[in-house]
Amino acid sequence: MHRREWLGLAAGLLGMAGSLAAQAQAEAGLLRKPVGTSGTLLPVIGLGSWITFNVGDDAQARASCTEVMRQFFLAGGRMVDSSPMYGSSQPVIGAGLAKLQAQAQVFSAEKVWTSGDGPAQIAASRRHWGVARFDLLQVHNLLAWETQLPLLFEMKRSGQLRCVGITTSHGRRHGEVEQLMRTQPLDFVQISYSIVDREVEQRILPLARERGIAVIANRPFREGALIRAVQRERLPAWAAEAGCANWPEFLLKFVVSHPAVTCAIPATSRADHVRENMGAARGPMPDAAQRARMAAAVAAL
Amino acid sequence: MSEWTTYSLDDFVMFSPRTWYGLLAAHNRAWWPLQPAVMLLGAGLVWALQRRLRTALRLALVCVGAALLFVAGAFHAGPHAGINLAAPVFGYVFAAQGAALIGLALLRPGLALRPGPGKKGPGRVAFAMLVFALLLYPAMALLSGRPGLQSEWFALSPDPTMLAALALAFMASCGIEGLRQTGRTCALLLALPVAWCAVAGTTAWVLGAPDWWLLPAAALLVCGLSGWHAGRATDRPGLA
Repeated sequence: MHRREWLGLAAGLLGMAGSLAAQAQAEAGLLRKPVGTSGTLLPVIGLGSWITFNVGDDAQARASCTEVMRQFFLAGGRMVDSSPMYGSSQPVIGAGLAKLQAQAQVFSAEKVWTSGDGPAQIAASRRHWGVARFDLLQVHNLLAWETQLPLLFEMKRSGQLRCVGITTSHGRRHGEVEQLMRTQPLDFVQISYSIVDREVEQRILPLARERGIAVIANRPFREGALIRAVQRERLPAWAAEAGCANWPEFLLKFVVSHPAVTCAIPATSRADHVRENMGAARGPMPDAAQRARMAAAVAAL
Repeated sequence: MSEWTTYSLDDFVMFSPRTWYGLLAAHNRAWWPLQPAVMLLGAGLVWALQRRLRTALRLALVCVGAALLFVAGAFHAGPHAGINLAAPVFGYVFAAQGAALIGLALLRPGLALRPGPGKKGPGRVAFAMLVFALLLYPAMALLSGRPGLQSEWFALSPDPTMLAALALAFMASCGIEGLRQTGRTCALLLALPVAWCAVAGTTAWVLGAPDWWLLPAAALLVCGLSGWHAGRATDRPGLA
């Protein structure tokens, strides 16, 4: 090896060490939760991409998405969630990861959403993301789970995938979700959960705890509608006791403080909002009594 | 309870207003200076139809049909497909309607506007709707508080182009020489534009556009007046 190559290698290693140190610093003080018994710890706030990252070829909008991702990773975030159903979100995420050189930092959560050729769709998704393998693949909205779950389990067994999950949203097909949680060796289940959508507290969240299944909460802001509704009101003075400095933290801390919830994945197209959201992974979390008070306060608005 | 009842209209729109209007602006930039050219074409068609020139209707059918085909390829199969999984389907819808209008013009050489009925009542509404789609639609962006770069133009953007197709199909139901099975043919020609008006209106409503009602209102007006006109035609076969 030539001297120049040694120097290049050393610079690369130093860069990697610097990036790991920055990541460690960002993650200090960040609430993280374990994924089953895998030993993986995930920050309780992830990043969704429905609508917000579907910006087509608009260069300016793509740059905004990259900035959102930069702020997310700078704040210690790891899980980014997408789907083949989200239009151009996958290539936008892939371009952002490449620009930020964050392929090693991201916890890539993707989905398979087809009743046809699952392997082809997964391969296309992987090319869009530019990652060697996905950390998590989920059967989107349970579509063709009879075909796709065995495929994902086989990928996991052969080392092409780390975790397997299923998703639903808007409270749909909870009976089937519950059945699959009981009968399949799932690592993750993704459901809709917010301070005003709490049906999953009855059966799915307790079952997830019982079975050691990690839970991803989607739509914590009901696609922004909940934020817009509560922000017309003043944040209760006692919210500070629950560690909440603003409404986004209030809504997100309610979700991620549930013992069964591993992380929430709010989506945003704004860098200031992603910083605000990441604040919900820091500081004290509300206890059961405070959670009840939070839910009652929002219900009363 | 079916799980479909758990969906709301906004679950079917997978992009934000910012992305949609940004797409329109980029599309306008990409095709400049086609806008003034299609405006001139539209003005020429309006003039020819107003003068009731013998070939005006067939020319209009060919031009609007070609515009639909162009939107299918240049918009739905192009940038729109990048943000909307349904865009290719919309492309087929536009292509089918375009082919139908062109086919009608080519297969019916004797097709022409009648001198009488089309000049009154529904015929005037159809003509006004066509003028609006061809010449005035771009102003809706400014009236809705959007920048001119995001305006929608006949032959470039889907809504004014399909509105022009709706108006032409409506004109057909109001008075065309050479159509023997007027009712059935016109109903077929109206079906896709009316369906598009429902899709476009729903999308615009979800995106919070103040003019979301425009296309659904046009479709309702056309359906209502077409039904009324068909009823009159049945009562008075001479007008059919």
